[in-house]
Amino acid sequence: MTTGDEPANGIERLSARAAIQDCLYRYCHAVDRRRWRLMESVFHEGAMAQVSVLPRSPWREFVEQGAALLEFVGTTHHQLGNIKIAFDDADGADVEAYISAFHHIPADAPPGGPFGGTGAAYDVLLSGRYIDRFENRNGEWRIIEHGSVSDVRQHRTPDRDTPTPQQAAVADNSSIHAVERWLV
Amino acid sequence: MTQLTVSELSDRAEIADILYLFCQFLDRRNWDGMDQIFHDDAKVTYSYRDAVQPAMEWVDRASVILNAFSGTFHQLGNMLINIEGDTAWCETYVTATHCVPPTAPKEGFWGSKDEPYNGIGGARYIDRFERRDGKWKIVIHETIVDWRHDEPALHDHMLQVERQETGE
Repeated sequence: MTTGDEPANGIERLSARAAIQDCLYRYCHAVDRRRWRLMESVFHEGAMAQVSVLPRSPWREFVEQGAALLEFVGTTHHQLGNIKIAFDDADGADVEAYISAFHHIPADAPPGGPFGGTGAAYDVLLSGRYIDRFENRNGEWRIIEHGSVSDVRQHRTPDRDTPTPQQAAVADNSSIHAVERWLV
Repeated sequence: MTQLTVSELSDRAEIADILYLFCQFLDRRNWDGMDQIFHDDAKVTYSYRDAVQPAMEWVDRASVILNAFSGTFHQLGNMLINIEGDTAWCETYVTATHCVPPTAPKEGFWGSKDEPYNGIGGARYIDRFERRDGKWKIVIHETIVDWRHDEPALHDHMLQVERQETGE
């Protein structure tokens, strides 16, 4: 940018970037808190989604399958880093977001699948990327196509002091305040 | 959601800056700076372990513990900011590494062991912000720990934190 030129990002762009980031954060919050209702504010109608072993499906089916996949999984923690946003027109953007995802698998989880029980508790750390297509419809930036790429998978033995999912759940009375406005 | 105004984007940036500054002060041991982070009557709680306490008492306690560590690294991720007027709730993901030498205090969440170790924790900060006299600061700060992993420090901690005053 040279002096006197219009900046590359005007208020509309900056606002869209914030909305896209918020949407990804709501997705992670919905997964980690199992607040599936919040997904209503993440996807547009007609959106498709795929992650991990879950096949590409309409988003409501995808969420149901995701809830089932995590039913016997303990605490999860999906932390985003780099969020790269590429607008291709006023109302569309391709987004790549780096994700570090922690999953605690309890000793008594049923066997099978990507988070199957082994008789001993273990933690799964997945590093990868969410690949999303966002669209602006009526002023709402949401996902119309959600995918993921897995780059690294690590397994670890949990530390004995790792809080149990029950402890974390009991402690967590306040996180809902951050998403209340999208749950009405 | 309608388009954000410059003022709303600015509020978001100010709140994010406070959270980044909090981590910088923790990791650089700038305890005197904490009054830029917390309002005078702010309260702090450490999820299921500790009672609610005045922020500055928490800072005094944390300073004794963190000053004894050979390094800490608090990295923030997701920052979900929900602003209403002069108040805001924010959920922030954090992954933090603590390099704990045997000489550090035995008590506390990252109490020392006979051998040096790196304690890694995944957590969320739940913060209540208020804008008073034009300044956004925290009035309630809660840490909810979601996971923890300790690993032996297989080499001398290289990050002997010099008590540099940086980033002012």
